[in-house]
Amino acid sequence: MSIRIARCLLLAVLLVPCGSLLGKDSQQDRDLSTMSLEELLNTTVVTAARHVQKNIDSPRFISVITAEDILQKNYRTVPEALNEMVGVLVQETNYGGGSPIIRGMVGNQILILIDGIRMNNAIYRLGPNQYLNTIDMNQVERIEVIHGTGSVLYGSDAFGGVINIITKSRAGSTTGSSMEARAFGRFASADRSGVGRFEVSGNVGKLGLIGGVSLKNFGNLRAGNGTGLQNETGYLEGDGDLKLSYGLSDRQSLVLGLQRVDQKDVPRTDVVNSGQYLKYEWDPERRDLASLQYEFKNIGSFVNSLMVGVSYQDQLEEGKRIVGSAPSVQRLMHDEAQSKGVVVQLSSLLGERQVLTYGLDYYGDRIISRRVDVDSITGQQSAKAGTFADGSTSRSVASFLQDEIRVSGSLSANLGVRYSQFHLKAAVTDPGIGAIEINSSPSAVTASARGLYKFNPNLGLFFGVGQGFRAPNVDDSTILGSFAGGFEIPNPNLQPEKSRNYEFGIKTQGKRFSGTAAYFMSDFDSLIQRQPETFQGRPFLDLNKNGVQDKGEANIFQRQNGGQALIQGIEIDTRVQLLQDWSLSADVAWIRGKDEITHNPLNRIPPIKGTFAVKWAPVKNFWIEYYNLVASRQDRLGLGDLADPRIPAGGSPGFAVFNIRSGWNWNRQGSVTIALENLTNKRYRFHGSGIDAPGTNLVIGYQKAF
Amino acid sequence: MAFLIAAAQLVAANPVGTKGRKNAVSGAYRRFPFARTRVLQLVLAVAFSTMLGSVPGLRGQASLPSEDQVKAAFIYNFAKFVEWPPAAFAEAGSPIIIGVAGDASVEDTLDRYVKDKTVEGRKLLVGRWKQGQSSPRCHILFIGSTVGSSHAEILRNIRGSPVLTVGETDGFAQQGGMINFILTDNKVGFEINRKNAESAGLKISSKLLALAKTVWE
Repeated sequence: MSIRIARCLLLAVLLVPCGSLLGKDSQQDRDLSTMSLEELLNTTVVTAARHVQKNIDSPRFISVITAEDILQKNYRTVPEALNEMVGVLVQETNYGGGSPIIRGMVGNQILILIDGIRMNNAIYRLGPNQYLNTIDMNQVERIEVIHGTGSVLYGSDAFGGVINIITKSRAGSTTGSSMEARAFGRFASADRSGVGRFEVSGNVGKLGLIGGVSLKNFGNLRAGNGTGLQNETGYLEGDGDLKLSYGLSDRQSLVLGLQRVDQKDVPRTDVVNSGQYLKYEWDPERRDLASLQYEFKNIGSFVNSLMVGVSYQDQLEEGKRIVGSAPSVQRLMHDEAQSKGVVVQLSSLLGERQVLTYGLDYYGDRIISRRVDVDSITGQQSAKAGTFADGSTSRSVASFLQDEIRVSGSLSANLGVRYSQFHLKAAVTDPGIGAIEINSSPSAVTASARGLYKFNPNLGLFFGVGQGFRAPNVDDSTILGSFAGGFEIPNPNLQPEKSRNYEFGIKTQGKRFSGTAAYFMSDFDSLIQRQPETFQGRPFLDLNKNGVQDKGEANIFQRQNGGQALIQGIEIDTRVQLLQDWSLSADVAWIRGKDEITHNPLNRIPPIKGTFAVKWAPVKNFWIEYYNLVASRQDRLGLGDLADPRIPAGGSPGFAVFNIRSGWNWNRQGSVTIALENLTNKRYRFHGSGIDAPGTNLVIGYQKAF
Repeated sequence: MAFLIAAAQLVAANPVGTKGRKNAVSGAYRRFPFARTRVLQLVLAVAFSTMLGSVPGLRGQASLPSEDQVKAAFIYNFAKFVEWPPAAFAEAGSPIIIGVAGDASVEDTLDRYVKDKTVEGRKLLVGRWKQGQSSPRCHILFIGSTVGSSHAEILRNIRGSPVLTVGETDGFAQQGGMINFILTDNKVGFEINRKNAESAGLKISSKLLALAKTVWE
């Protein structure tokens, strides 16, 4: 009995943090207006954990595209917005795509978040993908990119970096209601495109709302230097979004978010133009997201804040493909990932110098993958295996803890640890092999330690080491079937890919000069690679069981952990306010990657890339900016690059592109921007892309409030 | 998180250990008295912890005001240490209007603080700043960090107007703002750009300037 009482009491003590939430609000609603200025200056406050941290106070290399950048620069898509960011190169297989490469990592090695919700799902493949372009640029308030691993806080896939897309929102008010409508438009000459958005925002008392509809028509893209129109590049898009924010109290809020992005007739340019396919398009490529988030801030000191979020996301791709070698058969593909997520995050203050952030997250994906081949001559339809294992499920549960410690007035530390447990279940069938069941449960523990030493309030040295991981997903583990080089069988024993990341840098934020410079090195192992394997004792698919490799009996391959790589680089980002009206910005990134086993260069490592801009804003409603984008030649090619038809023999040529843009507010409720891009009509393409970038391009944008 | 894991382990523990859990579940009726006791333990623990959690002092330190409460108090006080040009007010008794952009928490707290108070015989009113409105219609404008970098556009739109602009964003005072809150060692301070204020016709008292961490000229 005494043991039971002791257990009960111990459990009670452990649950005290929860109790403080169930009890009355811990902070008294005191009136501070009676205090003098001196007293207010000496008052210690409770700060919200996850408060908008000043970049100068963060031990990470963080880049931000601000709301002002988005308004002035009128980006066509989210991927193209990232191309002007230091250390990010966007590979475009097709005009409807755009896959960022950050610190040498791409595809499912980069984590994308929307308002903190994971976009990455179980069928994100290794290599470039198009999913970042399923976010409506018109809905975006700002974009934050954390360079380097973010696995401790954000989980799997945050190998090269974390891209957090923050969408627009409006708060409610206790002092009145207001509503306004806005219309946005964008026109561009290189693709003869038109984009329009109608948006309503404001508040009805405590309920804040913002919602809009966007319609986009992108024509085929004209490249530079007489190349002309690139066929099979244009596509259509229609989007809608709504966000409702309700203030339950001055410290509690509830936010409901709904998004849909629907793209039609999105072609994959490279395989069609090469003749490999007569038709290859997504129609539709669609993403739906519903999310609900509750937040309680400034609860008290022991438990300072609580956030609970639930989300449901559906990513659908319906493909229409006609292989060049079988022109009478159209393949109708249906690949869908249905993802549910729950995140619970708390923060606690331990004295005045320490903030704990901790929580749980759960994500579960269900995959629907089917294919129907339609013979255009006979009309016959036949069901085939989809791209992925139909009905497969993937779940992850994780707990995380981050400790931010102010060691002294100059030194702060950030320690973190995460435990993640995954479960993947699938069944795959092939006529030559039969059925294979996959049931795997890998796990990963990751940790990080970072520090920031501030010489003064405006100058700091940051450093750190962190582990990253990428759990094998449905695409890694369940492929069963033929590919160009053989026959692949699934591997139910795949373990997470791992990395160790080392970084140090310096950042400054002064009255006239601000900048960040960093050196990083990332060491990868257990990388998933396709390797020769045996099946039923033989290294080839022995269809007739005669023990001899006959014609048509392909070699067996399997994805296995075993790859090792080393990536290192330097990133520098600077801004200078020359005079009140003149500002300069410049950035450059260099990166080098090597396969540690073969000693070959790694695939898809970007060339040296940099931007330079000069801006003049003489009066409050007018500005003009010259900017250029430069990339060096990239002839350090990995084995995959050498075989990639999107990369010219000998490597991707370097280029320099010059641009001018300008904007003015023609009254307080409207603005116009004009840009003339690629002034010299240079023909160029980003390394690894399947299409050329636009030639000379006149872009006009406007917005008006009603 | 460690607390929750340990709590879950305590609740899950049973005399037959992990392997025997299945037997314990399938033999629920035999185990029912034990299970009922285990549930009772959990209920008592939650009730006890709620009481513990609600007792002042057991949380480790006296409750502290929030950052927003202190900023709202500062904004109210700023009204006492700034002089506006006469043309900023329609009449002698016109109120001082405080606009808030983006931060509902500060707005609500400020609304409570200014109720029934006056500065130099003028009442204080709090209202929400509307994006794109054609004229400032306020004498103090607080631009919260949730506005993001739209604060630069707001500052451009009201440049030259006799509005005391107050922010809490990096670089606010250098981008046309007049007073910017700074958080250091969990205490709220502020920096002032006197030139921006004077070019808008505002005079900031020497006492407020003396208390600023930095005065930009």
